[in-house]
Amino acid sequence: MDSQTLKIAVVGHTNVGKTSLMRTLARDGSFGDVASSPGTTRRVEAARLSAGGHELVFFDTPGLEDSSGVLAHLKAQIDTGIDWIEAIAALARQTPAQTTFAQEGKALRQVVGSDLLLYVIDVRDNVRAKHRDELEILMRCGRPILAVLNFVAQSRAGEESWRETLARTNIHAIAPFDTFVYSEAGELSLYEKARTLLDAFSPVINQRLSDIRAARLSQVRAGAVSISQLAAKLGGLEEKVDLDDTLGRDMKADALKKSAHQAEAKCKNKLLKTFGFDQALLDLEALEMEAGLWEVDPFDAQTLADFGLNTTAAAATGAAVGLGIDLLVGGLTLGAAAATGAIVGTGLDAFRRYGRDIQDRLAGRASLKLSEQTLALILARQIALLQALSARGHGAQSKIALTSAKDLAEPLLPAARKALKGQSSAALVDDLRVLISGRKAAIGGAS
Amino acid sequence: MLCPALGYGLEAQFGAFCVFSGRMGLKLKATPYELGLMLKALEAQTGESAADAVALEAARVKSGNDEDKLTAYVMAHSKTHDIAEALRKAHRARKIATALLIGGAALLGALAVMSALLRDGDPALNIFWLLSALLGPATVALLVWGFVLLRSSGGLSSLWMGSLTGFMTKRFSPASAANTAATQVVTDQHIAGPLGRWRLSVLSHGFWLTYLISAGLVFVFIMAFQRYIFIWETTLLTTDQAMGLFSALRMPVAALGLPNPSVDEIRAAQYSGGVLPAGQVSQIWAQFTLALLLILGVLPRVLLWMASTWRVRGLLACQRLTATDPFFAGIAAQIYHPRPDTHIIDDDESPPAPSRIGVPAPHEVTALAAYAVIGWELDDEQLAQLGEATLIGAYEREDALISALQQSQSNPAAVAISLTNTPDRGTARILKSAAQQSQSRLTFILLGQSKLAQRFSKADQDRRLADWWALLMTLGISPENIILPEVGSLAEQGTA
Repeated sequence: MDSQTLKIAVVGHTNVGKTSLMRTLARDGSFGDVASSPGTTRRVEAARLSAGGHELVFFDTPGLEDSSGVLAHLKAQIDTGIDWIEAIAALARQTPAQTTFAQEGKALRQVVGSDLLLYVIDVRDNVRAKHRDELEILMRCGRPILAVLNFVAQSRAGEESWRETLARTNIHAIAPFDTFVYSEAGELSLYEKARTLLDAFSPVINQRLSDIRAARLSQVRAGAVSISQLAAKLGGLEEKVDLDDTLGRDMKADALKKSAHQAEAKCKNKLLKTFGFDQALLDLEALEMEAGLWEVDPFDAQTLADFGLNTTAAAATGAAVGLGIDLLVGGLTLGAAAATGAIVGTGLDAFRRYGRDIQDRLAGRASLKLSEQTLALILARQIALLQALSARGHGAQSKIALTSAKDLAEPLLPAARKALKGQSSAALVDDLRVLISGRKAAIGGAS
Repeated sequence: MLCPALGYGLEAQFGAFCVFSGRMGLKLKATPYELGLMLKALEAQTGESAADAVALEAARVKSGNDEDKLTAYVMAHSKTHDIAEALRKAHRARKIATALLIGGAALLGALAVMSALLRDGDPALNIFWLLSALLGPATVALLVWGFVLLRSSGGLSSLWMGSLTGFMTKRFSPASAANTAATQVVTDQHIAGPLGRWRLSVLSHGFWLTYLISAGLVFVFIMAFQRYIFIWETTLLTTDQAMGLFSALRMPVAALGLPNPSVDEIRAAQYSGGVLPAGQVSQIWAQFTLALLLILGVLPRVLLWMASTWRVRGLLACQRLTATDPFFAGIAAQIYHPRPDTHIIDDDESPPAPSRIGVPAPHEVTALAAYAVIGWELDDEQLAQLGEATLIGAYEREDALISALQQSQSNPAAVAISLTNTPDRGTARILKSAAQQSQSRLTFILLGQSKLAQRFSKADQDRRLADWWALLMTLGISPENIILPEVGSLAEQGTA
């Protein structure tokens, strides 16, 4: 099969999110410049994406800031007897010294050289005369147009009037796709609609559709694995302490907390990388949870209580908040009891742990570990981060709101308990994936 | 010929013979999984991304699932870098280390038997001493292996293998990130984790198997040329206990139909009073010893070696390049979502935009009722904000706006605009035209601050306000002719 190159020009009024759309479609948060000021994009910039031997090239264009002026200029040209295509081509050829519509000329130059136009609309804006003028100009360019309704996650109030306007302009291919709040279904729908307009480019679009599905699957799976690895690691963190040595126990508790924080930070970076959000590019401030919840200390009693996690059982062991001491109870330590149960299932590994616990007990030591509440809270915010990243477009610049963390903390207690009992990350991953996918479905429904 | 016949596990143990028999090259191909681990180790070492544009493209064009694409990626990556070569060298070092251990095992076995047999022409051969030399170390090592397996520790074998592989790699390869990563991967694959544990088991059983076979061969060789009288004596056991022990040893030998001494022959072989037993058929004892070597030494080791090899094979089959590993998922994401190749097509040659004019503190708001207001691109909600002002109309076309201004007889006239609209060049051109056409000095009312706050961050709101302010300044509108009805929020904003 011959290799195809599909050229797509992203056009629209200024400040409607053209560059943000480019960033989200290309998964590149560093593409171009984004600001609320007009004329932020003053040049045409291309992003070339490989798709199984084919290529998609997206062109970001300057906003059509003065469409009414351009339309008036073109109409004046038509009156001289040339047709629309020639008039548009003539404007596109003009240098900045020859015309006051240099920015529009750049955009139109790219439009006539492309196979498809993505006309980006900020649905929060009412349809204005300038928008109708833009549509008229673009309709005269002789290229298929797919209208992209941006910011639909914020408000869909203006959607109907936009759809009606587009229909009157004979544009019926419309894809709601929010560049800030990512929806896989929305992106797939966008490409599927593009395919209906570009039958000849089906191979490259099909490949892109397949890549998007596969990538999302692998990202969510890898995220679940990263978090289950964190769960296993945190569950296995322990410090041997002498119960009579309070000072030594406090020092070891601090060391344990530090290790937990480091492991959590590492997992967070892994998640960012998996979803293509380069930490260096992502404003650190953007990582704050809503109301600063990312900064809350999982080893703080009030924080745990805020998350609906009861800490009285862990506190009874005499360990610091967020930690638990594996004490001898009824002839078996908690770990040993767990190990005993696990012997049947996992054999050798559980037997080893049982042996170690007995040895420690004989030597007068106890194990200081994370409490299940703290572990659940840490896992909750990692899963919340994964969910937030899944639903975040690369064009977004707002803070990441980890709102689901509170709902997740308590359901994660069983998984935390398993991790503390020494369950492997491979065994934990299924538990976590259920929680991740459950919430993901809710997000999909909401958007 | 031995390697193909016994398969993978024996190949690992007898790699030395392959190395020295010149077939090394055929056995040193790295698996895609190992190549993938190399990339992971390299990235961890250097901190640089393993992404390779050529390899990513090779993976993209490869049809199939994640594993196929990741395999294509690591194979292509290893071709364009020195990864495969570094891995080949590390494997060679590992094989030489294995060869040295196996060679050492063969030597130890031979020396053990020779120390038991070659003793200055003394024809008496204590059967217990001989069995200790042949089976003793291997039996003790078997117990150690079992203990090590239970403790999940690498034990001495891992120490030897790790040290030897590291030493060999340094000996044969220059220091480089690739070589260090390769050593780490090969060492981890053969020492660490469950796979390493069972691979070390294969090595351990192979080591002692070699020891036993070597000892057996040397024993047969010496027996072919030397004549011994087999005796036994013990101060630890009584005669009856020793006879019971011999009976127990005879049982499996007899069960397999192999030669073994009778009770009388055993009793006759007891050494007492410094007199050697006469008329002994020493071949029976030699064959009995060999049978014990096979049944108590070689056979358990072969079975354990086979079991360990089976475990290794099982674990190797689980080693797949899949996107469930976060590292490989990162590569998969780049395969499916390639980082775009970006470039500028049509650059901006105009001079940079002038820096924004700061927004001065607002003046006291004049009552809107004093104005005849013309709305520009306003929606109903914003028009309602105008309250008691006299509204002439709301327009979106330049000619309509100017016509309204010209027809307006009221003074003063004001144009109400929305901050949610972008102050773009088109708007600037039209408002400039309106200001020029106006019969009196125009006032501008900036509406929609609260709506702006719903859309933008504080910084972006400030920027938008500053953009509008700058536009109006360039039109020659003085600050006292700019009204912000929602002035409370402006006071907080200060300058942009």
